[in-house]
Amino acid sequence: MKRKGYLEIIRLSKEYGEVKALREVKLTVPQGQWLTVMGPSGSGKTTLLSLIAGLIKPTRGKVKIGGVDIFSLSDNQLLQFRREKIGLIFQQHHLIPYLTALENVMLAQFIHSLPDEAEAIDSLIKVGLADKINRYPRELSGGEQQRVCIARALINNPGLLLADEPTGNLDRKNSELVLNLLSKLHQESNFTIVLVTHDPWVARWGERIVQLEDGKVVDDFLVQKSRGRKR
Amino acid sequence: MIVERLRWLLKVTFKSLARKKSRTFLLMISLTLASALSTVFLVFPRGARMGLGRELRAYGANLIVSPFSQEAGSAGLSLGLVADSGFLNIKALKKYFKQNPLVKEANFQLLARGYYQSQPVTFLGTEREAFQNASQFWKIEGRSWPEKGEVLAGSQIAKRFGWKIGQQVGFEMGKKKFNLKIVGIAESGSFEESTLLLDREALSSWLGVNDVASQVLLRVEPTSKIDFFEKELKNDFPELKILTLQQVVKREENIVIKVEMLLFLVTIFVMVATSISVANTTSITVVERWREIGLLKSIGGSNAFVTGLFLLEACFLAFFASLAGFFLGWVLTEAFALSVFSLWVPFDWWSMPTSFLASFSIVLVSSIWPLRLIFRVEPALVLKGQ
Repeated sequence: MKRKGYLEIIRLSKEYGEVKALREVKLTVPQGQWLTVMGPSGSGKTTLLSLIAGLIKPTRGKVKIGGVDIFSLSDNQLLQFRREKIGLIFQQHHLIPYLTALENVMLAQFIHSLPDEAEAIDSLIKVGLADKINRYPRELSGGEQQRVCIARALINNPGLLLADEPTGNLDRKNSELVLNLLSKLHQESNFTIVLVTHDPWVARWGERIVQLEDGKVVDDFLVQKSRGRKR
Repeated sequence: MIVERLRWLLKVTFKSLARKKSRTFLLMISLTLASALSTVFLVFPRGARMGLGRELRAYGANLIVSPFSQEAGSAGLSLGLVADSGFLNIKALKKYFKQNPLVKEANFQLLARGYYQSQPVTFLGTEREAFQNASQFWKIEGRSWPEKGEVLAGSQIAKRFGWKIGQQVGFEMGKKKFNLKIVGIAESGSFEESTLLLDREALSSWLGVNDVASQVLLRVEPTSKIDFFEKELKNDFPELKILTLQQVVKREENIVIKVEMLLFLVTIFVMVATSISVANTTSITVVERWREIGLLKSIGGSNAFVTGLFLLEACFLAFFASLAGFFLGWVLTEAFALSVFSLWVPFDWWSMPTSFLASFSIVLVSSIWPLRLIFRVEPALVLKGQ
């Protein structure tokens, strides 16, 4: 049965001068689905993710999240929308270096509305960092930093989580920890995930894989359960 | 809710500043110096006016008030004829001057003509305290204040008659004859050098008058209010003749204006140099924190929000620099005032807003240009590491 699309990407194109980074991409992602976008370098994965996040504007096309065409919003409305509906995780664990793990999570709360220490601590406990809430990023391993990023991305209960190569800088053991955590949280909260990776092993953690090449969708398939979660 | 947000914001700001301690410290020093100099610029001229005022008392008062019926002598002074004309009522005038805050000093003088070997001489009766104030920059040989039966001779009259210190001299005043001992010879650079100075009370008793004066030398401050005061005095006492010693007034004003101009130029120079330093540091900071800016924007921070964070850091610094600058400014002011005029300038809190204004205006004005870079940060590119 076809589920209703929470994320709808309609004929989305992005051009940088002569370079066509994305060409007429069409995708519908149902509520709660974990979509993995795969492709080689320069295939347009990160561009697609940045467009879904509203960080850049498309040359043509639309992105609808929860029925809202995000590029029809004003800049301020788009910011507000991103605060409330979208969580972001990046390959390089972008944390504010002079803030502790807890404060980094609270920063997202602060930008959203009001910092709530208890809630932020709870989110760090959920990602397995109960004993490291007051550590600074430099005192955390790469995997731990990425878990802080996950806690920060999910602290405001977004409907859509966008992850750009979240395990790109991690070894296999830490990657598994992070992906297991994402999987667990995804099952608990049923938010929609769009994860970008070039690693087939990472891609198989999702429910659906979209293959991008030269800015176009060349393949789109559901992950078989037998090949999926448990490797 | 607002308090909670503000508390959190301040905490983040403080942590951000604490991260780059040496840079923050240097910036703080620059701002403190600018703030201190602006405090000095504001406060020191006041000290300078006080000091100059004190020194210029040596040159005399800035107003001379006498009864209209008196004759005007050289340099605007009445030299005698006190028995023939009206006197000033000391009690009434003292009461009037006491109620007027513009009058800083009033020296009531009694002038009388006497004779030495049939040659006319002028006696100048004055009060001890006023004399001491006025004579502190005079050159006096011998004793500086005559007691009973003594007199201080002006240098010109002493030279004219060949008087020496310690000499007994016989005078006539009307039908009275008396001997006075010359206890000192004074050089004032002014009319006093042609007179015989003594206690006003002693002179009053020889003349047989009480609580009257021939003229009063007034020091009115600030000098910019002299015209106003003169008009007021003429209105209240139309029978008085008032002379303004424009030279003294102008000399004082010129010196103060020059000091103010010099301080103003130094302050502007330091403020401009500090502004350049702040602008440079802010530019470096923005470039260094490119990723942080991108991150804040990507998680929903608006340009205004991110700019606000940076401005808050700058204002945080400006606040503490203002406080430090204010107190440093006072220390410098006191040091200058003490070394140049040997006086303490009274401490006042009213100059604090200027110190704050200086720091905050430097920070805000010089941060505007570099902070516009924040608007150019594309989070998508920054987060990709480009």
